[in-house]
Amino acid sequence: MNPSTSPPSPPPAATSTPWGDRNVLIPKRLQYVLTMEFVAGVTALHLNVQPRDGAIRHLFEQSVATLPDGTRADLPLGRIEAGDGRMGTETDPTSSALTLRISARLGSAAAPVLIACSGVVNFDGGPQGLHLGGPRYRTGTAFVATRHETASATYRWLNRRQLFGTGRAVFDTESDEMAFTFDLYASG
Amino acid sequence: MTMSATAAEELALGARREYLDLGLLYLFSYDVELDLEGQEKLGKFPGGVRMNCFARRDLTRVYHVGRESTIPGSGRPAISGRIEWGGDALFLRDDDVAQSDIRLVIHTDDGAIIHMSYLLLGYVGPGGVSRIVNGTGKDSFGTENRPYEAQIMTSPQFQTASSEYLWINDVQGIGFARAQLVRSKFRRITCDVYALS
Repeated sequence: MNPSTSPPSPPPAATSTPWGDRNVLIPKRLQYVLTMEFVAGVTALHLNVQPRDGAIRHLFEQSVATLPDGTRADLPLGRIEAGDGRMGTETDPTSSALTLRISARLGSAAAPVLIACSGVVNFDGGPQGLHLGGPRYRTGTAFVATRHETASATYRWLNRRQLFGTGRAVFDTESDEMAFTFDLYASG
Repeated sequence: MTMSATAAEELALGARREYLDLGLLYLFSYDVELDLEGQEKLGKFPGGVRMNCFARRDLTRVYHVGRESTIPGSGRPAISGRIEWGGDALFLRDDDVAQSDIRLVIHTDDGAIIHMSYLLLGYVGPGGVSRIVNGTGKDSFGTENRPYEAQIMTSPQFQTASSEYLWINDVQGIGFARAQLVRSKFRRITCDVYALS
């Protein structure tokens, strides 16, 4: 074969190096898509998510986003209908685990969607520290990964990927209510 | 100064017009070779096909790509070692989405044991599930000379009783990974794990 006519070799990819010897990170991209905000009543470590209009929205009211894989996705404005969850686990109530199941309706057609969130929430003193007295508002950080199920063709892109959320939580010790706000990102 | 009356007002729900701070702290990478002969196809179930995959414990590695001894930005010891056990309960859905429940046990070089678990979702394209389950010849994903690389995202969480790594129990991870398929069989996975911060 004439070397001058052979196609140029592609640049080595991160995963084409010898096994276990990778010294470059895999390319990563995160694209903001949605914000999810809600209030939950707290009973011990159980969360009862309250209905809320406009709970799922884009911060800047955009209606379409380009995901990291290049596809375009319709962004919903949604209402949370109901939900529940808990902080900690049955075997370790002091752990920072956070699990939530939320049912919502998206867009003008009110398409139903189920959202399962798993992640962590960190307050000073752990979840048990919420009831130990101190200032009225206890703040913390929360991080979640969300999975979704919807039959809507418009929002089918939610079924095909996890979203990753960074969030804040505020617990009102007088009313035993906890407010959450998450920015959700698609990744690739 | 106006005092907030509720937790919702404290967080300004519905009124926020700026992003929350987002950070990614690189923790470690891992490479896993899968046992091709040990993959189990359980058959067709309502909603999709179930498969179980297992890691080859002798061909795994957990390491820091920069070969650092501490995690930059954290100061904590870097995580390196091997994966002692790994299993993947894979569900290939009828809507061409691959859904996995993966559990790994990491044995670090300094003797700690860290359990890592995560759910994984990935869209394999129109007809992708059928190609994975039934594909032969040109219909299968990847060849020995040109493995098919799939981009996958993971959301690992950790559990450990080791005092050196207790901090990782409070971490929600995000993993950027590549899976290699040869003749529609998952051959190996390489992943970078970050902590959301």
